[in-house]
Amino acid sequence: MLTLTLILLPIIAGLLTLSTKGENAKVIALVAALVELALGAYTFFAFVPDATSQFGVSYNWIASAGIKFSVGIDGISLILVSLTTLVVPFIILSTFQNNYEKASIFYSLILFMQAGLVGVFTAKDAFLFYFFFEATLIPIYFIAAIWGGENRIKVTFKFFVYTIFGSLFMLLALVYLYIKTPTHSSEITALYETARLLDASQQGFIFWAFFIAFAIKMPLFPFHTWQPDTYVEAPTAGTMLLSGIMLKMGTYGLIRLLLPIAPLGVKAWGTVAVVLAIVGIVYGSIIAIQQKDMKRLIAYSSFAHVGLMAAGIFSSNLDGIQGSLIQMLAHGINVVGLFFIVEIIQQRTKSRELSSLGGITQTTPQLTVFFIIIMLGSVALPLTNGFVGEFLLLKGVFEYNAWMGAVAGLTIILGAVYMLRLVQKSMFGTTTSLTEGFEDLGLTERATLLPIAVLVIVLGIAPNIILKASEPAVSQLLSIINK
Amino acid sequence: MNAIIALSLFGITNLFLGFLNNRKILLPATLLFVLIAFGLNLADWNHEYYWFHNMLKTNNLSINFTSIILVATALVVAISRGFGNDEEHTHPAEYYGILLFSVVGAIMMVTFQSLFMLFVGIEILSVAMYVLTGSDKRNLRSNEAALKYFLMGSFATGIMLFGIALVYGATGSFDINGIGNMVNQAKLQDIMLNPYGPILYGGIILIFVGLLFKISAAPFHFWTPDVYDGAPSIFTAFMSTVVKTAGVAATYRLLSISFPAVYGLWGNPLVYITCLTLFIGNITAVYQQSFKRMLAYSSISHAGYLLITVLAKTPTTNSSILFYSLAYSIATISAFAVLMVVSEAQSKSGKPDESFTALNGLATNNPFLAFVLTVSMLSLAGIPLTAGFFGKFFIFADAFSNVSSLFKTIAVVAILMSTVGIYYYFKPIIAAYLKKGDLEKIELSPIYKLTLIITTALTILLGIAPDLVKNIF
Amino acid sequence: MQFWYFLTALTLISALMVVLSKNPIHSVLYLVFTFFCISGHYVLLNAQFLMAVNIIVYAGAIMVLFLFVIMMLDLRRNSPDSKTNLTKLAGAVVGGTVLVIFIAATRKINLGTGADNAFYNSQTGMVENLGQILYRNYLLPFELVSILFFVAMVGAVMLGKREAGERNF
Repeated sequence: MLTLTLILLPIIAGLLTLSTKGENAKVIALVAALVELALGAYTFFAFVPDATSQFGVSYNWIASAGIKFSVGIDGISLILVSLTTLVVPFIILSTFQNNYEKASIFYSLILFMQAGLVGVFTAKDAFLFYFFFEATLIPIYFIAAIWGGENRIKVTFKFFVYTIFGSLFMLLALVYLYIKTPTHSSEITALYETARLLDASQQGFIFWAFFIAFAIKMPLFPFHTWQPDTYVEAPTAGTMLLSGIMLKMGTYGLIRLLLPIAPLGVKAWGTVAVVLAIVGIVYGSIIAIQQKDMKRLIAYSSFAHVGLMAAGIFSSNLDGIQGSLIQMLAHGINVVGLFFIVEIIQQRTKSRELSSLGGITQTTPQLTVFFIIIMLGSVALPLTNGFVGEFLLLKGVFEYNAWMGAVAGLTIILGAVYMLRLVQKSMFGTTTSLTEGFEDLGLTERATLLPIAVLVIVLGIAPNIILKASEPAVSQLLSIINK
Repeated sequence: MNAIIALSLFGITNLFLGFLNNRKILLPATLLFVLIAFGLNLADWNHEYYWFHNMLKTNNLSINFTSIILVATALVVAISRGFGNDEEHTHPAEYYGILLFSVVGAIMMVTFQSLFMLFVGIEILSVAMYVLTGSDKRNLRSNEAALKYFLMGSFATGIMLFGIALVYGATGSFDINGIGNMVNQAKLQDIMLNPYGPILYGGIILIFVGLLFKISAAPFHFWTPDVYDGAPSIFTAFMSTVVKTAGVAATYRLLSISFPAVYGLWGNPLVYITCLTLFIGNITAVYQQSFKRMLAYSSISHAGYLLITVLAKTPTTNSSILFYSLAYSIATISAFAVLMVVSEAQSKSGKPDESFTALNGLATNNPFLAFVLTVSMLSLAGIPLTAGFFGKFFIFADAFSNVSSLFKTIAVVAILMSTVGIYYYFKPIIAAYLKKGDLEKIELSPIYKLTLIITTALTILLGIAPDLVKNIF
Repeated sequence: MQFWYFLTALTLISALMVVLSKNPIHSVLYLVFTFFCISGHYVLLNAQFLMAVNIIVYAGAIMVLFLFVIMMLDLRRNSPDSKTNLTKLAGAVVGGTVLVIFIAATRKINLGTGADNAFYNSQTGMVENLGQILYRNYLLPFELVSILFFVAMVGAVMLGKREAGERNF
């Protein structure tokens, strides 16, 4: 029941927001997101750390297609649900400086998006998963297409067609599996059983169908071409949703569906996937170093990070998957913080170009501190949240293949290079005409950045809060994979 | 059967209503006629009848198909707006009368038991369509479309008639069950030893070609874009829904009852035809500047999706065709309804503007129309939580139910083409919501608005709870 | 049997001439001749009534109408051939392939020794028997064909009616 509430609350709040006019919209949206956060926190602490699925409900929905409305939270879902409920209030808070046209629609779309995301992370029925997976696309498309930058129509359309293209392949695989199930059921656990009946070539088909779907969503090299443009053109709140939460739908899908359903496929093709992921890490990092636009730089860094997560997942061992889970959480928090800082800088200087910025530190001690903390989290300095995830991921990849682990390890060095360059070029150095008289943080900005910075450090010091919750579920998943 | 008799009489009644010189009465009268026919049709529910020496057979399946045809007809009639107030150039009594007659033909196509009835049904439907296509006499494109349709259509019917004659020669029967039995026996012997084998096979192929022409499957689709584009929009809506549903139903009825024993003969070419139809329909639609022409190509592509399940030949094929046709019909009618009012409001020098640009900025002053358009486009594209998604879903499920691994390839082609479909179905949505335009508020008559509400609500409802109708089918 | 071959050859040749002759009047006359040949086939098939109807309706009524229309429309102006060579080639290939397929299909057919005298009934094609079948077994299609003609008639009247006003050409 709790899970259902988590899904329905944002929808109801979204409808409420839609019916308001003017300034009230953002306040209602924020209140709703905070209530959702409280519910999420309650879920997190009420969760009994074992491998079972909790707080669930299950209704028959479409009997002729064997589809159930079945949701529940297990250790893996828990982390992503926590991420979603945690990040959305920050995203809403980060827009408090802006006065969007048609604000009520904007905030209701964000809330609908949140409902869809929670749905994706809690669905226990494969088609329900697919519905939520697609349903999240519509709000984010309109957020980016209506409130985005100059090229928004073209860029968001590309994004939309690209991702639908991928998810149609997932649909194909799901229908295929559903037909193969003896009982014509589409529950994910039933699909796990069915997968055992399939031979290697059938699993190979399923592997690629899922892989294309999730690789486009994350995105992995070479399916990433929609990503940088979309991140740049979308309004910052949209970018935060995309990179903070939405790309985790892809990694979550890998863990939830691809690994356990197509273990033989992973055995046959997993190496290709890991290699693609690692190519993405290096490629993304190198391109990030070259970037002049702050938003684009972070977009490419996000691309590199997600490559490492995918590599960890495809190494299919405990460390890899646990690492990817905690890294999803950490990356979600960090990237929202980073994009928010870019937004602050852009609002005051009307520029995101690194070359025209500099010297901001002189007037803004608070912003500098927050920026550096989040940046350090992003480059995985020990005692920050990024460190735990990257360490476990690298360990997982290393166990899978030492050479690949070594190449993937480049991410730490390259990541430090581009992140430090970002901070140094934008914050330090001499002031330019644009950055003169840069004001320090306002109240809502502080209220957003402070908790993020705290989380960066807390999760770095005590990652076990997270790891413990997900470990039984991950172990069980691994036992299904290795059966 | 009762619906056929009733509609024939109603059609004549409609022509006489034309003498009243009261245009306003025609639309409600026709709507009433269609609804009465709908009721008569349902009266036979759960009974299986053979009519007039096995000429027609009605059972739940045929009643379902007839219901879809009548629902689509009712919706088309409801958005016809009585064909305007132009006393001089429009003849609503004749239009409505011919429309009802054509429905008689369509119903014959889904209930036929004898190939005679199939032929007569197709001819009634086609002749009515030739006339209606050319009904906008002052429009050159309409004239061209009518002539093209007439020439090509009669040729296709001729080919089909030749095929029927050959099949009759080989099997000595017009009854589809009788033919089926004979084909089964003929199959037992070697085709080279069986004296009638070659004639039978030639006949099947020719009938097949004639039917594929009617549902505009590639490579027999060349008439479709010009005819759909040239015909008045309201009749295009009718053609792309009722005619297509009846055509696919007739094709599957014939193939599955008479010729399952020679699956290889029609199945193998159908694989290529299906893929080609999907490919041509979707790829060509991308390049269209005209919304109406895009819908014409999209109708070709939807024939391709329907052919997948015809090809898969599973026990659920009929119900998949029913669901897909219903979903496709209501979405298409919504789209045409929006197109009609918008293109008229954007008329350029007396000619309605049917390009995508006519939709620019639709959402600003007409949020209702924009929403209707969006839902219908999403449904046609097969986005979840619309009826179109489940249409595709059931078709893919059918494809995978067939053990042949060939269907994996076909499904991948269909998926790729669905992606292409999303590209062009989003053009109108983008135009309506994201482009700027100076479209004024369009006033809709209550019945028009009600129809749009019904189609949109039905599209969403069937997307959330497809079981509502799937349990009946 | 020899007569059948002769008649068939005549039918095919005259049908071909309908298409091939440049002068529309000649085409129509060849068509009339084709109909006569087909009527001859009906006689061979013991369908005398159909033979008579075919001559009266097609050769008599419809063809005369055709002739009137052609004479009134003055079709002597030769319109330039609009087909490209590619279309012609494609048409020839497609048509030729169908021809080859049908020749190949019918080549092996062995239709036996023809009619069996034991079952021969000279009255089969007479109007009485035809009427029995038509109004008993095939009553429904017979009646429904009237709808078809009705639609065609209404359509012809509707399309043929002269209208004032501008044309949007």
